[in-house]
Amino acid sequence: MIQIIINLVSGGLLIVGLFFFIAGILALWRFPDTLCRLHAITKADNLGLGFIIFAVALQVGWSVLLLKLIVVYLLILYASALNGYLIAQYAHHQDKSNEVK
Amino acid sequence: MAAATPSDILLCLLILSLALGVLGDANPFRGVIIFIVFGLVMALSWTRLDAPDLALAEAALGAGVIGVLFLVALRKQGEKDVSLATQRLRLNSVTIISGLLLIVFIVYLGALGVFSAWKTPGKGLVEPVYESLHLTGVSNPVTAVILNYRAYDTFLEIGVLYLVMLSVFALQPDEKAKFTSTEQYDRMLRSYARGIVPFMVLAAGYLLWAGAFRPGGAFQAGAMLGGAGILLHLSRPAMLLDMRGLVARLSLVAGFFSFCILGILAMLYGFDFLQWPSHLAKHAILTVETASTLSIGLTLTGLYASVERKLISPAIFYSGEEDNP
Repeated sequence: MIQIIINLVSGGLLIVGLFFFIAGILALWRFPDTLCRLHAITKADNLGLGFIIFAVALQVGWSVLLLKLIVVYLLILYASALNGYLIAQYAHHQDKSNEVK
Repeated sequence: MAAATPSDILLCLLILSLALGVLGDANPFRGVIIFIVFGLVMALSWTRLDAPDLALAEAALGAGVIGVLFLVALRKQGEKDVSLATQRLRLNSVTIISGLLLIVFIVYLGALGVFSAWKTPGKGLVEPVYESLHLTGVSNPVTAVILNYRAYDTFLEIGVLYLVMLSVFALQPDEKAKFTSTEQYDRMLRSYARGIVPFMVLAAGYLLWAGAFRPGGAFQAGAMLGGAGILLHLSRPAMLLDMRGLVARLSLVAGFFSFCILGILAMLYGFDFLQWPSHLAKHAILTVETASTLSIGLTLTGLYASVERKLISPAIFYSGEEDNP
């Protein structure tokens, strides 16, 4: 019984996570400029991945694997924050140098 | 083996179309981006084929390191020559004939593959590999194949990497490598590199050790080390990679030489070249893997540093003054 509930909940979380990923991809595709796209996709991806990690964590239960999942999520958050910043910085510099011209 | 699911077929089609995109795209920049995506999808397909070893190596090397090298090379190319970017593949007699020949060749190879798979059903070498696994000193069959059954192949692969680095040294400009970059230090990137590089080195050590009993090994660990080296270079634009020191040179040849030395030692004790006696196999494999990890990591970092003109080759001897000893 409990297993069925866990499966249902984690399946639902997976779908929610996928929804955020698809939303992020749509934004990457449709939004007008780099900063807008970045704004949308960094948020949507981190949230979507959070839901997916949560869904998988429900499946693995209390184990070492759970700890690894959390570490993976933290590392990805760290790297994606930095990547977003670097791309934004680059785009900002490009814009500035275009204005000067 | 399980039957192909729709997602498998989708994956195959995706790989094919990405491969076409890499070769066919007129814009080299887009070609490189598609190449990186291609590497990631390949990694996915290796995972699907139950070969996480190859997936790791493909993602780190095929998509990561090579992608970076391509991007840097493209940037350098763009500074010199823009006309290449607009070159297109023209349809003339040569391209049509070679295209037709290529198609015939591919169909021939495909037919040959299908034919031989149909003629010789069975599991191939899977059973023999598992049967003598207890003699190899490791419990991961992939590592057993790479570093015991077929150690000779790996020996030559490491040798090729060493040759690549030697030719890069030979091609270094004969002028003093100097800090020409106008990029500024980025504080965020630097603090990130500071935080993450120790973890990357730790992860490389884990991958190396894990190779004995689960997916991992020298190539994956070396790719991780190379990634750490490239990250350090990215976060410090003024950093030069000085390969003139003894430690750097020894690390560069460590993989190749450890194979040579252990192989010859095995011969002295009456075995074949690179044939590990089973009670010493674990130690031999661990030694060559550790040494190869160092060499692979340093080679990958060196390749990146050389395209960025930040490599000081051991072939260069400066006479007189030294700015930063």
